[in-house]
Amino acid sequence: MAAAAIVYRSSRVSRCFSQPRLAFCGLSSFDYHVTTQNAWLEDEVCLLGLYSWRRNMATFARTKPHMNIGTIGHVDHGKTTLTAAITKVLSDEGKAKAVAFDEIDKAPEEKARGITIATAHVEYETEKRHYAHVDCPGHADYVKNMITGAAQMDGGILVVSAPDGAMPQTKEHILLARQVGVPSLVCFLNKVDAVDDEELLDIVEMELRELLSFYKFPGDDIPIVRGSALHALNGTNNEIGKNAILKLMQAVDDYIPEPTRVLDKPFLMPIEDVFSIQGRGTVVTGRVEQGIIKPGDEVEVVGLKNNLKSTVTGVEMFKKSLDNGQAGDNVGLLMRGLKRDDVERGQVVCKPGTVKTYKKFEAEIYVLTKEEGGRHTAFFSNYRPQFYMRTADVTGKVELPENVKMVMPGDNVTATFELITPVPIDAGQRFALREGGRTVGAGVVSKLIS
Amino acid sequence: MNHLGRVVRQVSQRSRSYSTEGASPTALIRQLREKSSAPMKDVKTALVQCNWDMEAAFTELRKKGLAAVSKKASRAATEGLLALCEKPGMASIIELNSETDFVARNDVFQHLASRVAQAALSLCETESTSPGHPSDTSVIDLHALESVRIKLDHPKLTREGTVQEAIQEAASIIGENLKLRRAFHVCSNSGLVSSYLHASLQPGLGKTAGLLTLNMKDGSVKAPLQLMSSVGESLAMHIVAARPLFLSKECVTKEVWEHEKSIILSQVSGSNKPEQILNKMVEGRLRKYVEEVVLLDQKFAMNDKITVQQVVEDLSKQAGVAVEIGCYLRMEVGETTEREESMQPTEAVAQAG
Repeated sequence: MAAAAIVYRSSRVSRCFSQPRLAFCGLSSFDYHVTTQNAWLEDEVCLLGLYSWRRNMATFARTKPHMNIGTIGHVDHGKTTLTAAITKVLSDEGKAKAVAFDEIDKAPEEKARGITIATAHVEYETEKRHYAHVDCPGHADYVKNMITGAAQMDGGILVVSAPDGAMPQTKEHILLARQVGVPSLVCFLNKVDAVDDEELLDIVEMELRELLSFYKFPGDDIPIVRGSALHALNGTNNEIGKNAILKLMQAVDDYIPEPTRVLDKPFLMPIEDVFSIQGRGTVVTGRVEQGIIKPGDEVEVVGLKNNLKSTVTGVEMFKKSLDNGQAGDNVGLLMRGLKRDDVERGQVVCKPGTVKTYKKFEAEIYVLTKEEGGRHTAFFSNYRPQFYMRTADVTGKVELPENVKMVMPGDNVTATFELITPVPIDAGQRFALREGGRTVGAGVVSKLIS
Repeated sequence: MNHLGRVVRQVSQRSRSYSTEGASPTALIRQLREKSSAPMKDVKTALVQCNWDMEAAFTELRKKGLAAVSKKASRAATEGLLALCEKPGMASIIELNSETDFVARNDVFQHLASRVAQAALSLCETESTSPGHPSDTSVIDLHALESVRIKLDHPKLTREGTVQEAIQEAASIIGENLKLRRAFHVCSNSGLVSSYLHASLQPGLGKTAGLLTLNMKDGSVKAPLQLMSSVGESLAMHIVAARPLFLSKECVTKEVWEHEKSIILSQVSGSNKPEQILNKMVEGRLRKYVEEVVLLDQKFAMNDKITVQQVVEDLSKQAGVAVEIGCYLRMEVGETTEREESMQPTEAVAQAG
């Protein structure tokens, strides 16, 4: 199973597998347990193996990389029609299940990690990749998606109607892409059949490129595909219909870069538990977050207290020793020369020199509403919740920006946070805010400070 | 706003350079598009119709844009902004709705909302509502407000006209249904009006608002205004955070009281307890209900060891003059109609003590 861990980013399909994962952890040779309370935070990187395994069951050999993309644009410019058209055109090629317009348009409320998000999901694949496609009605929903990591967008399709051109709020759509960290955009100029003048299309395109460039996207390079989503959906006028959609997907395939595969990153594993095994030594367990570990590799234990160097002398899973453990695997690592008390839950085992610890950072957080199980009351600067970062549970202080005096349940806000002990943190890392074991907020690190 | 200003400048420089080349159709289209922000296709059609005369085409576009707006009028608009405009002793607040929260972040929309709030305040100033009352919250008649003339002064939208016309023109370039939902006026003749806007991206604009009046019983004493306004602001924050339904116990209407009592009674009647104990349970739960929904009995959001009543009493001591909360108002963008009804000034406003 683990060998199938071609690494996919989080997808909602994977979430339903968190319980089985916990079950199989218990089978490991080191006889340890994993606390279930933290499972929800961890399933992002994890289960990637399981996810691919499940996909393999459905699609047989599955080697295509997975990516999340989203559509953004004005309400009348045909986002939903385009989404439906993509599934229709690709389903004709056997690469998607056609999803009707009104099924997408409803944008059902979903629960991602206990947080309600209005979002529509469809899935499809091209020759090159497998895509999960999200479509949200509002800015707030995209931001929640970003913070919870329910569908971190690897790219976006900006939909602009040709007869209208860019709207005043198209600027807000582009800024959203910046805010939620969408690295690349592709544009679809929709309803081109309503414009009979090629020159006018050129003006719309020029205007759009200028706007994109102004907001620091490479406006001159971004592919702008002209077509009609409605023709594609109805199967009429193939040139601006079906072919335009295929051209758009080709542009998405070519222009939106694949995120670095988790396997290619340096090894990192958050420690979930530590055991002393008679006659063998100290074993640390956890799920490999990124990279590969082999017996004999030098590692560093980082966070909470002084860093320690060690060498991994054994990698085990399912009562078997392995040649290597990779991202997504739940493994136990036998550590040379470490005592049980030297290491603890919350630290990470990593390739030496690759991880730094921080106390102070900036992050964007979403505060759960009462209905989502969060706080009932507002909080102010100097609020001190627990921060659950990877497997570490650390107290910290919230420092609100000057123009924000109060944060109410349901708000999202960018603030500065200071922990009482340094822990390993990366930009883009997700974490939970907790109070008395209850999750009251979710956040994503935007900037490391000190 | 600066950003957009820069975009416009940048683009206008470009279009100027086009026009020096001898006003090609492309340059004219770009110029008019920029001036009107109308849909690209309409811009060209208007120019062709008017024989490439900019002014005539511009007038034509406005007519056409307004026609398109009315088609969208029935669509649900529950996002948007609250805009607040204040002067010493008075404040006006309006809710302007849009279909998506993207539009609420747009500077054209924000500019429009602020100007409408200004118009609302000027309307109330000229009418000088109810001078007899020491403080009051009044509903502003939307028809009256819609006919106030305002001046929009935004790079994308510079027009003079009535509030209604301004909203329609903004709707025509934004392409969403925009709706002026409600407007309120709060004033105090013997004290000050304090306010707080939550989720405020720009000063005077927000998604949730709390307003209240702090009245002095003895108008002859010179009150420390700075102290009063800082306490006033934290009380306004409290109103936003704690969502009170009534100002004081006395304001809880009989129907609400009876309704709550009947709910509690039905909850406790199942248990086989003597009547005396049941009565005590009902009493206790009613007290709890009061602490939840009555502003003066609520625990203060910034310090839950004291009640709002105590905050006001402390303020009176420090200020050296008896201060009381005259009335309060809480608003949230896109509130459901039921909620709106419960926020009617008749219930929310009452004199303390």
